[in-house]
Amino acid sequence: MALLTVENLRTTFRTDDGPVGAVDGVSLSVDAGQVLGIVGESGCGKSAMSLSIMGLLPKSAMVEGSIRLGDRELVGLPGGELRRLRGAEMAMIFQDPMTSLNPVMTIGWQLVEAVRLHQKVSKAEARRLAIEGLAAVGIPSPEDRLRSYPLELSGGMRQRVMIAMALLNRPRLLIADEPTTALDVTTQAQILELMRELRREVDAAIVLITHDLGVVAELCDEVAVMYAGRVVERATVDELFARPQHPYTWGLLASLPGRNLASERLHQIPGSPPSLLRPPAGCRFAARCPFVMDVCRDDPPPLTPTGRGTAAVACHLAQDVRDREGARLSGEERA
Amino acid sequence: MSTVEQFEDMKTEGMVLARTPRQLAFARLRRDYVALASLVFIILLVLFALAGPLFESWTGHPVNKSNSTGVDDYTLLPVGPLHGCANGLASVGERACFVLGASNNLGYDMLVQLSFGARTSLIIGIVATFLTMVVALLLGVIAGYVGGWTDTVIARLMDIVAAFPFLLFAIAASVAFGASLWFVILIIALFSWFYPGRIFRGEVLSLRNREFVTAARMLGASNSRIVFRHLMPQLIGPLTVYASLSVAGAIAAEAALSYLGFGLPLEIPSWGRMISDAVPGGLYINAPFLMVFPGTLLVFTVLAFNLLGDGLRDALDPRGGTIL
Repeated sequence: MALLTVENLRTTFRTDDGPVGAVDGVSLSVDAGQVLGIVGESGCGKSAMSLSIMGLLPKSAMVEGSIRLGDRELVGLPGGELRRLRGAEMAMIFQDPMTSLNPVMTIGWQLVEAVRLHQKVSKAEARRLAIEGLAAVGIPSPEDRLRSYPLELSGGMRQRVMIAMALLNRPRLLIADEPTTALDVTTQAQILELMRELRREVDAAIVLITHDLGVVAELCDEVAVMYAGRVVERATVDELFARPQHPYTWGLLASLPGRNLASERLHQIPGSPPSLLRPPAGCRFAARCPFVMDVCRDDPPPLTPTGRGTAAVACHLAQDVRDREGARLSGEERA
Repeated sequence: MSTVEQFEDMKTEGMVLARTPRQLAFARLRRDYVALASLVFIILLVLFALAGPLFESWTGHPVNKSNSTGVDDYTLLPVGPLHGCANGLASVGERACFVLGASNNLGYDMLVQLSFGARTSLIIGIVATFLTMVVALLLGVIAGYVGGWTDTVIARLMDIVAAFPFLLFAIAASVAFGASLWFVILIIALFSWFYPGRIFRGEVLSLRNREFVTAARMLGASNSRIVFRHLMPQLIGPLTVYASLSVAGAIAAEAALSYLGFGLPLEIPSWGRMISDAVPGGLYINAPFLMVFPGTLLVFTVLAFNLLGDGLRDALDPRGGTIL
């Protein structure tokens, strides 16, 4: 059974101009030990979805549908119970390690607090667990680092501390919201390497949110591509890169810097995502889609299985057209 | 030690020093001579206030006690400094010697009255500030953290208090309820919490949306834990600064009320009333020291707390420069 099951999740923000549906009917699931990548550009609802799962959205946001962790329903769970789950059963890593640690407290204080929020252990024992946690994420001389303030550590080190903190209570679900975006490239590689190691060690389900398909290719088992609050395509990583099915995914893949870097400018998808205040009636990608048909503007395509494993796509294009275009793009990529 | 030498020092130790915000603030404060001088003055003032009973036995003049020797038989003016101290300080204790003169036309001893007045000022300054800060923290943090409707109500309450004319209200209330030490303290606290309250509200407002607060919630921290363990410690900086400024304000406000005759009851010595004692009949024209001694002490005390507050603000300012 899947560890995390999200069904028909809708997250709506009330704004002065009216309700904004940041997440609009998303369904997905992750098994223990699996990494699900969620890909999409800024504003497509990735972060709103992860915060919905964690129950960290402000009260002004409405969360509907179903989020199940194991066999426990999280939507509608009272705040106190949700709080006991947060940090213990599920944890999250944020984008910017510069701001996600308390600047006026030592690393040790924050780690010990994280342990003692959920485990009834002595301070000394919590300290030991904190040192262990820091060592596990590859921080040199962890005992000395307990006395450090966040400002004394580099960005990469802080992100390691953040990861250690999230894993201290051995959560079953780990959500990583663009964990490498705010770091420089060499540090990114180290953090990705760390996550790959951790993936083998902790038997948690990991949801990795990113806009970087390179990160997805390195770390994930399955991928869901999101566009304007909806999942437009989901597949295993191999399937997605071998036979991408949705025109938006093609756009994303084409925008990756390929091997023939010198020859041409990077591809970009023309236009910008639709306003979620007044979303278009049909397919949300219709306005930017080079393959758009009349039906696309009126009927939203449902997420339909392609018949290859777990893969599914929300597109009106005929299967053979999608296969042909996807294969062409994938071939170009390889050439 | 020059900057270069210090740098050499660090190199030989083979490390670069990383300093916590607290260490940096102390380093900056150590170089702020104005703030240091203020701090020294405040410490001396506290010692001066504590020495009250010593002064009483030394001069032989109890506090609030009229002395016939303190009034000139012919002019009926309070005697001046060093009056009757012909044999120097050895003559103190003979009851005729007034080191700083007498403080009013009843012949109170100026030195003793000033010392006990310092007590009053410090007690009022500290207790009123404590109350002010408690209310300011409570309401400011609640308004900033809870937000929404609660925030609107508290913020408007702050506006109303800020718009209230302090002296007018204090005088009216003093007439209605009768003045006492607690009355003066409460009325000062009532009219000063809104300013630091606004500061704390603003601080919390900007802190609560910072990512580390979300991160703490992500780890399962409750609201009260976030407020008390994560947000409050960050308010220590502004709290110290505004506490220092608030002590100055409270001392000045008490002096003003007592000067106007609506402050402390007569049995409590007060610098403000000592100044006002010099006014009737133009006493201060013939005996200016009646006004100069308590006035100078009051000015320097208020100045010292204000300058210390300024110094603390500079020292705790994260934009402040780095000192090697």
